[in-house]
Amino acid sequence: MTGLTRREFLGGCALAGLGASVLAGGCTAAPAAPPPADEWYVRRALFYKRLPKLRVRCELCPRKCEVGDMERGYCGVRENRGGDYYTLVHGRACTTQVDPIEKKPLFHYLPGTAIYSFATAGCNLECKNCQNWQISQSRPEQVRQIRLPPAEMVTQARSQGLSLIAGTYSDPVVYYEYLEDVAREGRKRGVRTIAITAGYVNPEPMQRICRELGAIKIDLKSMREDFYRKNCTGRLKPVLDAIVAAKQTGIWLEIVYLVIPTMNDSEAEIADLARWVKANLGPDVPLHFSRFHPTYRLTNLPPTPVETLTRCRDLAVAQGLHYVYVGNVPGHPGESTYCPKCKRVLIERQVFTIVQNNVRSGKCKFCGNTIPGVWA
Amino acid sequence: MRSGASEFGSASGAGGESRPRGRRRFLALVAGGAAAAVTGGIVGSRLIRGGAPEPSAVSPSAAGAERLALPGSVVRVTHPRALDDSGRADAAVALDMVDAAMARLTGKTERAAAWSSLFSPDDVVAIKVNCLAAPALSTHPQIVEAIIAGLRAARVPDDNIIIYDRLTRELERAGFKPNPGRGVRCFGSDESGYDEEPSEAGTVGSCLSRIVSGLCTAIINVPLVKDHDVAGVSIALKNHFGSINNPNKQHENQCCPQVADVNLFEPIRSKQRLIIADALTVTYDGGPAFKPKTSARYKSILAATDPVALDAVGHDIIEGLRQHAGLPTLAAEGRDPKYIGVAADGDHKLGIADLARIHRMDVDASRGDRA
Repeated sequence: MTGLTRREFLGGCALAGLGASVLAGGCTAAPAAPPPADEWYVRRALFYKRLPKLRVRCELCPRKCEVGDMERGYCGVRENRGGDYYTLVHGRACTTQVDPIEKKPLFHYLPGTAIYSFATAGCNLECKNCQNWQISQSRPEQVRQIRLPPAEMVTQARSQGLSLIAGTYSDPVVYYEYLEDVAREGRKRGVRTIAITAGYVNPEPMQRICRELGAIKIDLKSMREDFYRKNCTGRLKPVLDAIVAAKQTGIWLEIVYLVIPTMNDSEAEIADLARWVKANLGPDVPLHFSRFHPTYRLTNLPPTPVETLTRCRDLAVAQGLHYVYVGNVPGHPGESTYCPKCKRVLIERQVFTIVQNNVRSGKCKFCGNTIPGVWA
Repeated sequence: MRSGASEFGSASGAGGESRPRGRRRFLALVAGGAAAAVTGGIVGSRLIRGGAPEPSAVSPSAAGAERLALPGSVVRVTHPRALDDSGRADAAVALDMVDAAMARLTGKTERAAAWSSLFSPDDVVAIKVNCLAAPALSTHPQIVEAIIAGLRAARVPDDNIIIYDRLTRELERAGFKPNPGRGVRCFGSDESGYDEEPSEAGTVGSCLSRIVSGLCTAIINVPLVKDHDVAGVSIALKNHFGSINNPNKQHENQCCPQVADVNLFEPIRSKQRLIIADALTVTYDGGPAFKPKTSARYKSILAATDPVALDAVGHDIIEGLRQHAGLPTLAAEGRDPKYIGVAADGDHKLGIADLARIHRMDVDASRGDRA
């Protein structure tokens, strides 16, 4: 056996009929050649560092994947090509649809508004209870592909009379560059963009994207490291840091906590959650307790009992939070917004429908109390 | 990631283009599309000289017939002309090497008899290649042609042979001709799709390629022997990361125990009957991509029915090349492929990892050496 000379290798490559971009990446340490024309979805990633031996370290999320040449990160949508890191999903949506904003849920941000919603494949977590695992746990090649550059998406939203776009369903963290370009394009044309995320992102990229967005909803999945490790393959602390980082930018923020029976529903944990929210975000940040339904790899548990959700809400209110909701339970009184001062119903909701809205210019129409949120 | 609420509904399909070939159209093509040959084809049985050890075990095949299983046996076949001066594999030599490997492994000197001890005419055989680093470092089509010649000798119809990897695009890049229609078929799991629900095996939850779970009755694993920057090495066991939908989720903790767990998936464990590792070129550092400065022309193939034993031998080969090049061991770099040992433990029982218990057989195919 012998080592290969460069000439031999190049000869072998030529005989194999290889593409130029792969040759450049495989043979030399020079930056990879531009992607082929049919890879229109490839863009250089924003957050990574080059390492020796053509490796890179992704700096986007706390996972900090160190990725070898021609390999992908944990998210499955970022690839090392010759020592540089690329997103494979820029302008490459896998689904789009129009949703009410209450479905996200965002309750204090333009209630009753319809949103043009989109996602790409991939996620940087793997929650065993993921509702959208068919896209979040897939690689781009495994799902439907819709060529939808940012400008085209904004045009589509506007043509449907929509002034909001949401990056959602999987996790916009993994299609960060795409979301940012959508948000920037939208701002130029009077369309606001929001993000629905698990918040598993480093503080610097979190604050950068928040400056482009109108609102953000973050899933805080537990107050226990053990839960994040076992159920999500992630860590709690970076999520808490990211939430605080988002709040510091002044963006409108709401928190969702999915209550899973026996896993994150103890009174102690709910009390910890409410205390943390109040201490770090303030009493006015809405907190939604959502009902779990068995799915994906967590099918051995029942749906969350309604009384558990009610109890969670009562606990959080008792801790001093002003806007606490119950989600995925149609008809529950916790779907509606109440004035913390006069206790009257401010926004009555039935599932995703606004039955009445008594917020006037950001104030309770009954007592004049200021209601935090973005109302127009 | 959205977990719990039912926010995600049916896609609107608004705007843009969808994938050029839908799954339904693809499956229709698979069922009875146009004829096309994947490879040039080297056909016919040839007499092979020499002997081989008696098989130590037999186990029932999917079709119910007994098939060969040789725990702990690994054959290495070398040939000095396996690669020409430009690095291209020689098809005739590759055929000689595969014939020699099968003869030594099965103890059957006739090609037809050797292959028939593992495969029957009613099998649908999926050949898992490794094209991640194509074209510079991927399973050689010439090796696969030789394998197909063996299957034909066992009277497996061309329509019942599928060459696959993750992506059709990667297969194409490696020199295989995509063909979803009649004859020897060749396509990626991106075309066949994956199971609609995940399966669980140990720590891993994945959707298997439908080629593995549904289309085939038998698998021939044709990996490379190469270094892997995270797992340590990538040989037979890790090659099945290309049989699941989410390999990117399986790289934490040096892929251990995930590599072993993936091989526990019932379709992989029960259908994999043969491994022929392409070690014509071995990248012993800097993998899984090709690194010319740390690649050797090893001009060998490895054959076994035991993927753990083959991985153990492949790992040993890589360590030898690293030592020869003055590189530290993988363990010294914190990249010891621990998953090989895990695959042999009591929870997995996928084969034998202890080199002291592995029966290694070396064959020089250039000398007609079969014994």
